[in-house]
Parts: sequence; structure tokens; C-alpha cells
Amino acid sequence: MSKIPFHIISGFLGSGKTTFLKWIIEKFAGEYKIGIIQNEFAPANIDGAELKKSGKNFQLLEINNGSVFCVCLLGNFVRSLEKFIDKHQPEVLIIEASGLSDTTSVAELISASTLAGKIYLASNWCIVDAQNFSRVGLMKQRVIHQLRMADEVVINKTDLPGLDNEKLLVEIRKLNPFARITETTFCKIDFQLGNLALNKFYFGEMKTLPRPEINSMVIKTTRKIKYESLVDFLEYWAAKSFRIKGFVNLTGNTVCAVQCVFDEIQIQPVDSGFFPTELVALTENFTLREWNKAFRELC
Amino acid sequence: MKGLELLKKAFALQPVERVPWVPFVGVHGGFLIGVDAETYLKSTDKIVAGVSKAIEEYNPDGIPVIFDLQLEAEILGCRLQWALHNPPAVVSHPLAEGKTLADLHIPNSSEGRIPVITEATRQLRKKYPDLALYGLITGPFTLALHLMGTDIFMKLFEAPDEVNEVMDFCTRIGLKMSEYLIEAGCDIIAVVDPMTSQIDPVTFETFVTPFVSEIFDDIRKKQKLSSFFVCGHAQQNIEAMCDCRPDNVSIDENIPLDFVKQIALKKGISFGGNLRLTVVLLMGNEDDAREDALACLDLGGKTGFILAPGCDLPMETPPANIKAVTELVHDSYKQDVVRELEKKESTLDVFNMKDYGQADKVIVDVITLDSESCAPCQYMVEAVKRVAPQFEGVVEWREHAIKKMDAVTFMSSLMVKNIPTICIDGKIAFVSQIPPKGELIAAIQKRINEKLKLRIKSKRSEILILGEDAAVCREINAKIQRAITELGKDVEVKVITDKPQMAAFGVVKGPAVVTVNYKLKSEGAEPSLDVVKEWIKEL
Repeated sequence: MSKIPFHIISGFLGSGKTTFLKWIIEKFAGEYKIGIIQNEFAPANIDGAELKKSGKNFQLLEINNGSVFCVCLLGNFVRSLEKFIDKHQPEVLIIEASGLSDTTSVAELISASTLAGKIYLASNWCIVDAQNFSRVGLMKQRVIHQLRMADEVVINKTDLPGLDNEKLLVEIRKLNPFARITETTFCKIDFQLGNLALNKFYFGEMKTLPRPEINSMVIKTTRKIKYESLVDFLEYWAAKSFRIKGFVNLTGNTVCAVQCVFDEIQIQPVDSGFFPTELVALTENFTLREWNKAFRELC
Repeated sequence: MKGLELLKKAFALQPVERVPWVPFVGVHGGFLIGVDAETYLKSTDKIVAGVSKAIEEYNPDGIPVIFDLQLEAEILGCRLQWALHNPPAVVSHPLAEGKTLADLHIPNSSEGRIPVITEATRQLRKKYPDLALYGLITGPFTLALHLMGTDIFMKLFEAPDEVNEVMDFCTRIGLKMSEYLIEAGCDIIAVVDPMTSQIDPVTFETFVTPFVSEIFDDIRKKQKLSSFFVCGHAQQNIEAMCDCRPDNVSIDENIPLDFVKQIALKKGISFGGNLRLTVVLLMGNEDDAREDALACLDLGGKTGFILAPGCDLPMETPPANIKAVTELVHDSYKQDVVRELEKKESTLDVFNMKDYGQADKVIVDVITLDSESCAPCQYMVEAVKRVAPQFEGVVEWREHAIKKMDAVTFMSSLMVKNIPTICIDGKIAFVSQIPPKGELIAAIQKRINEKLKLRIKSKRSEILILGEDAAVCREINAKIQRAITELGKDVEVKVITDKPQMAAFGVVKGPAVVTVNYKLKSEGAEPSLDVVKEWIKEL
């Protein structure tokens, strides 16, 4: 069986994740077997019920039992998802991560657990509520983290009056210089069921897309690395990857955003935040163990 | 030193001989005794059995009685969704569903599952008087989130007074809970407030600091120790957490241990953590666990540090991984081994050892850390040293101390994982245990016999008589047979009269005699190209 692309949709509570999901289901459910994973800290099942109302055909896995916000509770997630995949054999998986979820941990789980043989991380979306972004100001710790790790940022509800979208855009760019940012109303965005970086190299649409050997993998570490070593590291591994992205804590307390698409490497300093180094790679040429080890040796 | 004493010393920032170890066994205790999470958390007997089993297996210095952040919430009317392999989850939030604070009350000691926990604490206290028992209470912010649901995040902004009221209520509950747990016999009260990782320092100081500080002060007044547990991305709040005056902060893998160490020690409190829960302990192997534990031990140091997982152990964490950590904690020699290996493994260019041990002599390799500084290594080397001369030059032995790089390469090439190890002709023979003299001799003798057998088997000769005239061939054959008899050799004689076959040996006209020596070069293995070339050169 070829590997299933796995998409993360994150975003603060009420930002429009479920609307986005509904829209994806509308568009793709007739054509593909879609598996949706919902993990909402909000009152149980409300969103699940919303989705089911659409009448479209898709499979739903609800993880109310222990929100995926804390590493302690992630173990069970792997077990549930594995069962779900075996039972329904979906062609694409999308997780609606709760506003409190640590999306890196979710990505890490996929790359390190037995799930790695079945799925790969195809994309990571973060939905931002244009109106509420500034209002969650005091406690946007998690939002910032979700934003950092996103490949695709969607600014939603931009039609509401009195919003300074430019300012918001600048703020998001400061956090995540490489993500593609889309502004929208009602979450209507061009969503691809495969992975963008891969699409460039594998022609043809969905049915042929999930490649058997694609692995997504995550390095998460609290160790720091020298700038020169980082460049060496990326030069070596970027050529072997479809894509590497993430944030790296450098010695001397600088933080850099990193993006490599094949051997094209971009490194850009960003405001430092209190987050560990987090790098995600999409590749078919190396294993997590090798990659991790190589990084650790340079720290 | 007894566990409790050791922990007290670490809490008091006195240097310790060995870092104290506190595995956060929650529902994992149920896994150890084969019951599901729900059954476990609802039964005093099961909890006592599970924790006892964990103590027996993991040899800890301290252990939580239970790790369940839903206990208070359940009593306050939050609906729980129970699971077989996880602690339960809170799925309803009374204050978001029409109830007000006035409808809620502070639980008394006989409500909900409180008696289950306090009774388990009493029994464990009696059974393990010298071990530190951790009593865990739900931190006020996490409990407030249970009560209010995620509305709390908006209300921090929109209705701060309301949040403060709920926080105050949750603090009263925390004070009571810690009182019940202390009375039952807990030594250390841990305020577990993971949800604080979601907020920034300003919010933390406004909405969390005043409340949790009160709980820590109260625990101190009761002359017990306290710890502040957090998990997730809470690095921004570490300083604020330390300022709440706990005796200890404990963190998970998302925060660098050295960062916490620096701040905690500066503030005069101890710190703990941060073994990686899922990627290493749950999904990794024993090597991963050892490596991670060593990294923590080396970063944490021996003053004010407590080794612990980042949070509640996932239920089905393989016990072997936790045991690997236990072993490492209790054995500084093992720590040295892991440290040496990790340092050097990286640049390895592994030898090709396929043909190792094919020489005439039997080679005994002893792989050690360094026989001069490590006792088990020394004994193993001595055992070999004593035995080798008895074989009168047939056996050659060497020590490979992995403090030297080429020894590490050698070790990895032979796929040796443990130290000390004895290899005989490149095959692992004795691991970790020093073999008794008799066994060692027998093992070496066995190898010598094998080699001898191989040598005997490997030689076979033939004499070919080539000729068209059968009578002439018979005559030659008779002579050869006589020579064989007189020499006592085992040689086969064949007569070839077929012309094309004779031509194959380059013989045009008989009679001719060809001697053939067969030599077995390898058996049961595929020889490498280089080796085959060597053989061909000999021809």
C-alpha cells in the first residue's frame, strides 16, 4: 500500500478550521476516500456533529479522549489512528488539531512511530482569525507555535470591518517568513490533497500521487547549533530532500527560520521565541535516525 | 542512601553521590499489573499493586501515588470519558454549561475518588517508609480550564475578574487536596499545571502566580516539599514559575534542561525532568532510553537535579526502556560506557570483519571500557590472560579498550553492544558476565576443534592417469597405489582414457600423470571479491 498524505489543520479556537474542513469535504469527498481526525478541546463532538451534517461520505475519527495538547497523551493517538487507517483505508488524512495542540508533536509522532510506514506529513495549515488574532494577544503562545510550523497560513474572515490586514500580515511574516499566506473569507482556499513540493516532481493527479517511499520526519531538540554548522548540515541534507523547513536555535541566542526546496536553501533570522529547534523534512532518501544523528553531531 | 533522604538532599541543593530518579508512573502501573486505566484509577488495591510493581521493577527514589488530573474535576461535575489505555478526559465544563461557582463546592475527603487515592497513599506509606511519595494535585489553571472550557482563554481578556474568581476557587481546592494527601502520608506535593504552557509570562504572572504561590507557601508551612510540574512549551514561563516559590520545578522535553537548571539554581530551587516520553520511552528502544537518560544526567548534574520523565508515562511504555534508565542511574560505570560510545560512534568507518578469525591461531578479543579503571573489565581481561597460556601459543588474546577510537570501530564492526564482551575468532562468546575458567577453556577448545576439523576437511587430493592404452595406465596405477600405501596418504586415483578429456589437460599423447590438490577455501559463507582474488593469486 502506498503512503497516505496526512494534513494538519491548526488554528486558534473559532478561527474557522471546521469551515475549512467542510469545504474540503464538499470538494473532494465524492472523489476520494477521506479520513478526518478531530481533536477538539471544546465541548465534545460539536464539530464532529457539524461535519456529519454535510451528508458527504467521509470517515471520522474523534479523539476527545485526551486532547492532543500534551506529549503525555499522544501515545494513544498513534494506536487509534493506526486502527482507523487499517479499517477504512483512506486515501488522504486530515487532522483538525485543536487550538491547543502542539502540531510539531503530532508531526513528530507520525515520523517516529509505526505510523511512519503508512503515512507522511503532506502539509501543515494554520488558520488565523483576522478579527481575533490581536485579541488573543495575551495567550497566543500556542497560536504562535502553530503559525511557525505551518506551510500554509490562511487569514480568515478578512471581510469583517475595521481590520488592519496589512499589519497582521507583517506580524505573521515576522513569525514565519516562508509560509504561503492566503487571505480569504469563509476559508475558501485552494487545497491540494497531495503535497505541493512533491507535485512539482511527480506529475499526475491524486491517484498516482501518494509515493510509497516518501517519509516525513522531525528533528526536535533543545540543543543549539553554530550558524556555519547549520549551513553545512542543510547543504548536505537539502539535496537529498524534497523539502526541509522549520526553526533552528543558534548558539548566541539567534533563531533562524529555514526553508529548503531541494538544494535551494533559505535561512532567515526571526524574533526569538521560547521554542525548541524544530525541523521537518520530506524525503525518500534517508531515515530519521540518520538525520537526527547528523544534526546532533553538529550541536 | 534511602530514596526520600536522597531526594531531600537534592531538593536542598546539596551535592549528591547519585542523581535521584523519579519515574512518573500513573496508569502505566495498571499496565504493569495487567489492568486497564479505568479499573486501575478506581481501585486502591490496583494502585497499590501497580505502584509496588513499579517500585520493584524500576528501583526509584520517589514515585507518584497516582497521576490523574481529572480527579478533582470529576467531583466538581465535569463529565469524564474513560479510556482503556489513557487517563480519562474531561469532556464537559460545568461553568460553560450554565452552572455558577455558587453551585460548586470544595470536595471533602470522602468524595469521588479521593478515598481511593488517600487509602492507596496510606498503604504505600506503610509498605515503603523510606521512599518519597509524590502526591499530585491538579494545578489551579488546569482545573479552571476543566471547569470553564476553552472560554477561559477569551475571558482572560474579556472578563479577568471572573477568571480570578474561578482561579481562587480552584486554589482553595488545591489547598484542601494537598492537605488530604499530606495527611495520608505524601512527602512531596506536586502541583501539576500543564495548561499554563498555553499562556505567556504576563498572563501567567497575573492569573497564575498569586494563586499557586499560596499553595506552595501552605505546603512549606506543613513542612513538606513541593514541586511545580508543567509540560509543553512553557519555557517562557520558567522564571515566573520559579518565582511562585515551589521547592522544585519539573519540565518536559520541550524545554532545554540546561535552561531550567540555570534559572532554578539561580533562584535557589531544584529542578527535574525531562526524559522524552513518546519518541524515546514509548517508541524507542533501550539504547535510545539510555542515551537520552545520559544526556539528562550530564546536563542536570549532581546538584539539585532529579531525573524524571517529562510527564506521566504513557500507559504502554515498554518496561525494558524504563529499566534501562534505572540501570544507568544506579551504575555510573554504565554511564561511562554510554558516554564513550556516543562520543565516538558518529565518525565510525566500520571494518569489514567477514573473514575475521580465519587465521591458524584462535584470536580472543576482550572489549572493555578500560581494564585499568573498570572492575568488571579488569576481571574479564584477567580471566582470559590466565587461560590463554594453557593453549601453548595457539591462542592469541587482545584487549580493546573503547576509550580509544579504533577500539570503538572494532567493537561496532563485530556488532558488540555490551561491555565487557569476549569474542572468540570474531564471534561474541561472553557478554558482561565473567566466564568461569572451565567455560572459557571449553569455548576456546571448541573453536580450536572446529578449526582443526576444517583443516582436515579442507584437503583432498587426486592423481589422474591419462592415457589411451589401458594396460599402460594399469601399470602406472599399480605403482601409485603402492606409493600411497607406503606413505599412508589418502589420495584418490582416477584413470582418464577419453581423448577430448585428455586434451582438456593439455595432453596430446599419453600416458600422463596429473596431481590435483583441492583446498576448501570457505564454507557456509559468500566470500568477498577481494578474498576471491587472493585465492586466485595463490593458484
